[in-house]
Formats: sequence, C-alpha cells, structure tokens
Amino acid sequence: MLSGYNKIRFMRTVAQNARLFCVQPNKQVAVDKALLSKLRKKTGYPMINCKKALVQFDNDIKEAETWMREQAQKEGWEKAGKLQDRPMSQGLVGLIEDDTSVTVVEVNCETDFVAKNENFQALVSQIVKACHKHTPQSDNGKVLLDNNEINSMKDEDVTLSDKVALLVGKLGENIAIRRAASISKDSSTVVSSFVHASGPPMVKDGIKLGKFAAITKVEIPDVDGIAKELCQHIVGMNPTEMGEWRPKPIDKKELKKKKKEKEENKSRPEDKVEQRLLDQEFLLDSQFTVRSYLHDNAPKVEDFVRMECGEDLGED
Amino acid sequence: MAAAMRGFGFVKSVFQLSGNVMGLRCPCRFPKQCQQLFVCENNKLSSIRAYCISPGEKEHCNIGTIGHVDHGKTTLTAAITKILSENSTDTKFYDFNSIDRSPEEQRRGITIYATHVSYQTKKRHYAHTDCPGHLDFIKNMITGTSQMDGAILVVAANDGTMPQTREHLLLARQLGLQRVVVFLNKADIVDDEILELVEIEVRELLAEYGFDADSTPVICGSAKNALEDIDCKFGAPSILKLAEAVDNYIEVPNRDLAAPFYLPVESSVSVPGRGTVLVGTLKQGTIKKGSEAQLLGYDVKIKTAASEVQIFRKPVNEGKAGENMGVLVKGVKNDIVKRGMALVAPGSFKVTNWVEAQIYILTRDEGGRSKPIMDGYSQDMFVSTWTMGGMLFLKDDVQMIMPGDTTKVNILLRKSMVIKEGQKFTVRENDVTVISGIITDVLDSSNTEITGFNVQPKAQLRVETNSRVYANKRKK
Repeated sequence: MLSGYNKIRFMRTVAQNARLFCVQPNKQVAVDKALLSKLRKKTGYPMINCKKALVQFDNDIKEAETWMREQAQKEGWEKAGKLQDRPMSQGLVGLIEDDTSVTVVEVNCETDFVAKNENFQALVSQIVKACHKHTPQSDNGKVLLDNNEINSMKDEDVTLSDKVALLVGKLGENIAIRRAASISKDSSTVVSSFVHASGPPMVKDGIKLGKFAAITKVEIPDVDGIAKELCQHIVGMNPTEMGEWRPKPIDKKELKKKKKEKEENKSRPEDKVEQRLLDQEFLLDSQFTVRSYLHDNAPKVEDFVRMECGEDLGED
Repeated sequence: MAAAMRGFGFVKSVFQLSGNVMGLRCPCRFPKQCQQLFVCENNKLSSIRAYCISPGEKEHCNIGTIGHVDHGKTTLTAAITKILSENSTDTKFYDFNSIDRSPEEQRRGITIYATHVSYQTKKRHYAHTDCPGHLDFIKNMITGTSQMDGAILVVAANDGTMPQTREHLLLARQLGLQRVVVFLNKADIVDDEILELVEIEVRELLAEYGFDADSTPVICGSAKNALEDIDCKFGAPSILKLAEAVDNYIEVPNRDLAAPFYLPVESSVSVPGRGTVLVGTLKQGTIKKGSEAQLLGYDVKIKTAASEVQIFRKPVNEGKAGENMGVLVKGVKNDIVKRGMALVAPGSFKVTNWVEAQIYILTRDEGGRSKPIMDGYSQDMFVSTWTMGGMLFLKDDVQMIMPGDTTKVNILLRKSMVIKEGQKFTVRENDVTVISGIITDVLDSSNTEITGFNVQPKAQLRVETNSRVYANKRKK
C-alpha cells in the first residue's frame, strides 16, 4: 500500500500528466490567426503548410519561416515529380543579347496564366542569364543545348533544375526547361534577333520574352537592318532549312519533261508550303523571294535559329 | 409511318402507343417539361389529347469557371450538373468523364479542351463554359456566340489563392465581367480558421482588381463530396448555395425594348407611288408607325420616316425587337438602298469607318492561315448583314500578328457603316476563314485616304475629234 505522502505524490503526477495530455491538443488549435496570415503573406506557401509550420514551432514565426524555406525545395521536387507527366504546351522563350553572342531559351508550363505570371517570367529571365553565361563555345559559333545540359547548369550555386522545382512547388503547375540555342558574333558577321510576343512586347531585365524568337547571322554589310527584317521573316514564315544560295540553272528540257509527266499523271499537286528560307516569298515585300531580295542587297545568310514556344518537335 | 411523320420536320420523336396508334411529342422547346402528346391513328392526326402550354421562358445566362488547374473546376462543373439534375428534370448530369472526354484528358485527369454544358436552376437557364487557359476564354469571347455574363472563381481552400489567381481576375476584367462568385473548394479538408483566412485573402485580391469585394458571395464547399454523395454541409448544400448565389448575384444584361430601334436592311422592294419597303429583322427597340428614322450605311445618310410597318403582310402600329418586318419609308429611292444599310432612330447610332477590334487569327490547324498578318492587310470583312473592305492597322508596338495570336487592332473601312460595339465579324480569304473578331470601340471617322482602297485615282480625260471625251485607262 502507498503511504499517504506517496499517494499524494502519485496523484499529483497523474494530474500533471493529465494536464499535459489536455494541453497538447489545445495547443495545436491555438494557432495565432494574425501570425498565420502574416506568414502566408510573407512566404506565399499553401495555407495548410503555413499552419503546419506554426504548429510545429509553437507560433514562432521566424523559425517557421526558415523551416518552410528549407522544406520548399524538397516539396518542390516532390510536386515536380508528381506533375512531370502532365503536358505542357504553353510557356515563354527568352532571348538575351550582348557584345559576344545571342542566346535563346524555351521554358514550358501548362497554362498561359502561368506564362503571364511575374514569378514565371522572373524564373525565365534567371535561366536565360545563367544559360548565356555558361554556354560552351563551338567552332562554327552555333550551340544547341537540350534540357539535361541546361538543367545541370548552376546559377549562384543552385542548379537550374532546383530553381524550376522551387517554382513548381509554389505555382503548383508543371514547368520545365526545354532547349536553348546560342549564336556567337565574330568580326565578319552581324547577328540579329527578333522576339514576337502574342501581346504587347515583354522585356524583363533586358531580356526579351515572347512566344517566338529567331536569331540570324548575316555577312557584313548589314544594309538597312536587313538582318532584323530577316529575323522577322523567319519567325513569320517558319523555314526549316536554308536552301541553295545559288540555285542550279533551270534546264528547259527537263522542265518540259516534268510538265509532260505531270499532265500524264493529272493529279493536282498538293499545296506545298515552301520550307527553304531562300526560296520563300519575303514577308515584308512579297514581290521578291528572300534570295532575290538578298542578292539585291548584298549580304549572305550564314545561319539561323528559330524557336516557337510549344511547337511540335516530333519527340514524345 | 413513323418516318412519314418525322417528315413533317417539326416532329422530333415519334413512338408507338399501341398497334397502329402512334404518339408524338409536342415539338416545343421544352420536351422534358412539356408532357403533351399528340395521338395519331391510321396515318391521320386523329385527335389532339392536349395542347401544349409552353412554360414561361427562363432568363438565359452565360457563365464560366476560372481557376488554377488543380483546384477542381471540372469537378465543380460536374457537381453542379449532378446536384441540379437531382433537384429538377431539366438538367442532365454530366459526369467528370463526359466533360473531359478525350482519351488524353482522361488518362491525365485534367482538362485540355474547352467544353460547354448547360443546366437550369429555378430562375434561369445557364450555359456553362469550362476552359483550361487564358487564350481559350478570349477565343470563346471572340468566336463564341455568347458573351459571358459572369464567372465562378474556383480556389482550393488548402492552397489559398495562387500567384496566378491574379491573372485569372485580370482575365475576368478583360472579358468585361463586373461580377464574379467565389467558390472555395476542398473546404472539407481544412478547418474553419483557414477557410476564414482564405476568404479574407480572396476578398483582398478581388478589391485589388476592382471588384466589389464586400458584396461578392464566397461559398465554401467541396465539389468532390457533392459528386460522391457524401452527406455533409460541404456537399450538396454548398452546391445549391452556389447556384443560388449565382442566380442572385450575377446580372444578365437587359435586352430591353426601350432602346432606340435598329433595323439592319436585308432587302428592299419598291412600291410604285408609295415609296420603298425595307425588309429585315428588328434587332433592338420598338419601331412605331410614323416615327422618324435615319437610313445609314455606305457613306449614305438619309433622313426619312417609317410611314407604315408591316409584319407578315399585316399593317401594325408598332414592331418589336426580334420580329421580321417590312417598313415603308418615304423619299428613299430603291436603287440607293443596299443590303447592309440600317434604319435607325435618329441620332442614336454612329456611322464610322474607323473602329478598334480585338481579333483572333485562326491557325493552320483550325483551317486558318500559316503566314502572319502584317500592317496594312486588307480583305473583306463580314459583319452581320454587310460586307465591306477593311484594312488592318496594327498598334504601335506590334510588328505582326502570328496565327494563334489575339490582339487589338484598328480597322479602316472602305466606306462608313453603322457599326456597334460588341458586334462580331469574320474575315475570309476565298473560302478560308482567317480572322474572327469583335468590335471593342467605335471611333470617330478617320479621313485617312489610301489610294486604291478608299480613294480611286481620278481618270484623266482627253478630248478627241468630234468633241468626244475619252477616259484614259488607269495606269497600273
């Protein structure tokens, strides 16, 4: 049997324990509303996570915030993993230009709401800058990068894929870097670029954002900004190859032969869209083909890159 | 026999009652409410058992859901049709899978294409649009037959507002919506405190974008619970509450008869000795016998009066909007009148050749263009009853418009026409529709002159022998 003293002591412990048990759930409910709303406003993380953090750190907003920022990266990756199969047809291309080269990067997302969002645009401009900085050199001055190469690039010790994941966690939508291209300048050529945004032009930190972009490299002299016009043409007319600078002279006999064959077949030739840049009708002056326009104005096109956001590249 | 009866055209469903007695449903617009039967024996319409009394037509309202991809727009749409179909017979239940129909959508569990469903409450008939993206809504606004009157903003309570919710509200503004109703979805998985905070947050955001934040109804509920028949306050009751809020808060624009009348002329007949009869359907207002009127269009402005109004060859004192009528006007010669002119109340409509429009360029996949549109593009514009050459002027910061883009442009018409804000038009190249647009602003006439478009170069005259005057051929 317990002595009187011990009995009292035992009962006190029980009571203490019982109080502990009672306090615990009460404490969970008592999250300060003002703090919760403050934390949410400050961080922008989901409401439910803010509450969890506050409960965990007993309404200590500073600790909760640091913990959440640490968690954000992890959660971003989790979310990104969950969303990675979802299709992305929207997004932006970002283009940066300096004295040495021009770089363009495509970043995809699911809806155009996100593409219009500031957070997303800031991410794209960060990616473009990092990509521009780390693009390797090549002999012919043109570099094409796929998503894996870009994802592993680092900006301020954070890989770009980490940055993407962080925003995926915040926006709750699948986001991914798709590809990049860069053309470097040299003394005998002019490199020019054109970005087409679907609405009014978007510029963020000197980076042009839009849905379409083109870069061309044209031999000097660049008469009346012809390189720029050419870029606009490339965005508009979507050529896939260069074509011959000097086409073979047309053999009259062969032409007749072909005509005859056509008549024999009598099938109407399908409307073929001209894919070769130099054979296309020039966008800004439809009387000329690009070839004749350039022949008149001297410079020769060395190279070009065109990027359309969300275009079908024939991949999975 | 059934086939023969269907041949009547207006008869939609024929069924056998017994033997050679056939019944047919009343061909009115309300097949489910209207239970009237016509009975037919031996190929003859022998008796009519009851007459159809069409129930009073309900107000129509166009609505849509906007919100983040995962917040449950489609689930909510499905839940609304489910709950409303249980409460009345007029609504058909669309389950999730019939809204997200394509195999790709079903596999991934998200909406990719726009869908339209309809349902009815006690007060109204709704057409509901569920679109995944910004461009889809704008496209729907430009090309769709109906303007959206209001929207339901869906926000998941566990996430709160997302950064892109701002873009959603911006869209609502762009669509010209004055009012939205907020539905806080997934309310069952969070507690009341969080609900309250999210509600405050949404209201703050609404106020920021110029909506009336205090009076906007915010309904907490769970579309999933409603869809799965879970009995709680966030299930079916919340959906009914939402329907009620939409009924009461979203306003349908008044298409009243008090507006100044507007009659687009479809054809005209000359009645010798009396004048000219203009034929058309009155779009708005009421036209009274003897009222003053203006005949406008194709740079023509004639003051006249409606001396007689006829509806189906019967003279009437007044004709109302929606009725097809002939109007006898004084002092107008038949050869001036062209299809596409408009007879309007004096001073109520502007004629102009300079408008602002929001246009959408159809992509190649949609049967449109593959090349971009440049400044100065000119082509025939098809607007309600008229066709007129129009020239596009791009805004200063736009160099070109790619297929798939939507943007605002100015349009110069070859001749001044009666044109209203909100009118839709298309532009075709031969047999291809390339542009679909909506007039956003009617501006004052411009006196821009473009040779070969709205100004023809004058032909020079020369005098030859016998004092004959010849016109020189225009140089190409």
